[in-house]
Amino acid sequence: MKDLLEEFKNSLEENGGSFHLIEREKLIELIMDIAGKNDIMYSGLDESIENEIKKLNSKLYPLDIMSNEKNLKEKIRDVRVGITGTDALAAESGSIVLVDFNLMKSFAAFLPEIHIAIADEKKIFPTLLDAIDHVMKNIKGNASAIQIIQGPSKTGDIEKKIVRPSHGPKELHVIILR
Amino acid sequence: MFSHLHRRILFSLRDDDLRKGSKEATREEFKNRHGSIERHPYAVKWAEEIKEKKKVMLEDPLKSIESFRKSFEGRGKYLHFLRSADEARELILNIVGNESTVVKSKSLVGEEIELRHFLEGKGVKLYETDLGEFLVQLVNGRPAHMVTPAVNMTERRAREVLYPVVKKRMDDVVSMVLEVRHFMRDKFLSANVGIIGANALAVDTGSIVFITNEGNGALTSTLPEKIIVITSIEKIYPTLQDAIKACVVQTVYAGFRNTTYIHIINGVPVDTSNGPREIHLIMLDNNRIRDDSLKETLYCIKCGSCQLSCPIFSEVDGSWGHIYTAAIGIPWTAITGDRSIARDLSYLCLQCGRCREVCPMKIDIPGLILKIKRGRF
Ligand code: SF4
Repeated sequence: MKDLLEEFKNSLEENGGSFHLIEREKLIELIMDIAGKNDIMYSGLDESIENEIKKLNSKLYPLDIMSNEKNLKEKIRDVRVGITGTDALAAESGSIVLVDFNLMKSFAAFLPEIHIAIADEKKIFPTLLDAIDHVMKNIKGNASAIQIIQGPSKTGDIEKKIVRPSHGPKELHVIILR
Repeated sequence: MFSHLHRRILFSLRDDDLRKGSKEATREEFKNRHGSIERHPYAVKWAEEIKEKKKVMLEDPLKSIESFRKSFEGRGKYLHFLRSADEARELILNIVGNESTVVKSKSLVGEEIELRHFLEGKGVKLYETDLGEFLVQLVNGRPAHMVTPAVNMTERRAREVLYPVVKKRMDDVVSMVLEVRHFMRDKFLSANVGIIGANALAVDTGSIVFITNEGNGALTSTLPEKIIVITSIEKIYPTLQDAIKACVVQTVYAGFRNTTYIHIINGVPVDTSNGPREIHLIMLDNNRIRDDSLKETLYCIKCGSCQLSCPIFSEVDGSWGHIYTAAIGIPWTAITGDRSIARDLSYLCLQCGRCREVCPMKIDIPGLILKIKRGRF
């Protein structure tokens, strides 16, 4: 397990993401550190984590509850931080995998400037194919999308110079709870 | 036609700025590709595997399309199998409607049928959201390269092209990208149709798989009410694992350490009134099935490394081609475009064989071009 964690950390950082391995009690402190006073939208979090997040001072947008609201897109257009759970991680490629039913995880992962993905150490698999295998076997119902994220958004379209961010987040933080 | 091609090539030979980009890109190609293969050595084996899978699927393409249709179609999801570019364009216009605002991410098949020009001609407001494609759109041109469409555009030129649209001072590439992000955000949020391409389709799960670096693909495929996926018959794989492998091989051979995003679309969302209600998959043939003599072309996964390794491409960039450019672009042009244009293009090939060396699918590209030169196709 330790090796996988180490490998995941290295790949994620190579991809331009930030890795955090912390004790559960430190979660709120870390999120405050990353998010500052900005508004936060979130989707697909465990209930216990959600309860923790409610302690934050930021304005919160619980997307899974708001998913049927009209003008949702307008409401969240300027929210700068998105938090999601994570369905699997791949060590070799530094990928995080999100299984999305209502697309709210996608909104939280792609619209904001900062994406924070909270994960469980047990969900790290050696390779991307293992991770996909795991999620496909465990999906209940019809997931409308599966998103594989391997770093913050970038473009190399002008003279092949890599620039971050492009249309997606400029920061990707993966928080692993011990 | 020959003289028109001549003129274009002479023009690009004289334009140092135009050539700088492609020259640099071709110079770096070897280093980049080797670096990425070293980082993901299994990609070499995966390339062989997916070639075998493609061979099987292409033995009976109609059957493969039907098996994909069976697993794909369902609530809100429609597959349209279309034989010609004309049919595809008309149907897409029908789905889009003249009044729409469309955000589009990169699709080479979309280029193949000149979709942007067509829809804009019908009054549709369309925005290319991939930065390279957006630059190409602004100069009303055509992509020079499969993976980096604006490979021939320098920073200076890009700034000139962007300025009239974003109207902000842009000191460097970072600020250009940022201004485009701001400009495009409104379009993403207000568009009613999103058009995307697909890198691979998986029969076992009925999934559409595509890759982007910018995140524009994610926004294009999740925000609008209607999604149109433009793809072609050679992208069907038996399993989702194969489809993902195809995406990874394409990225690695394009010389990238990784692709930022791999998106897998399975259907319209549940429990929400936001996001897409309909997904239309346009499965284009455009002469692929009928063309037997150049069939090997269909194994191509469009990584673009044959283009970047081509000594002619490094001199004349995207002017050597017609929609599809350089190396494998010549047989692609012969199949999906105009045969006589392809023949004119073929004469520029030196038969040096570098493209064959770098191709993950081990396609005999010089052999295909020779057939075209000789008119045996
Ligand atoms: S022919 Fe081969 S090298 Fe050229 S784009 Fe296709 S897969 Fe890549």
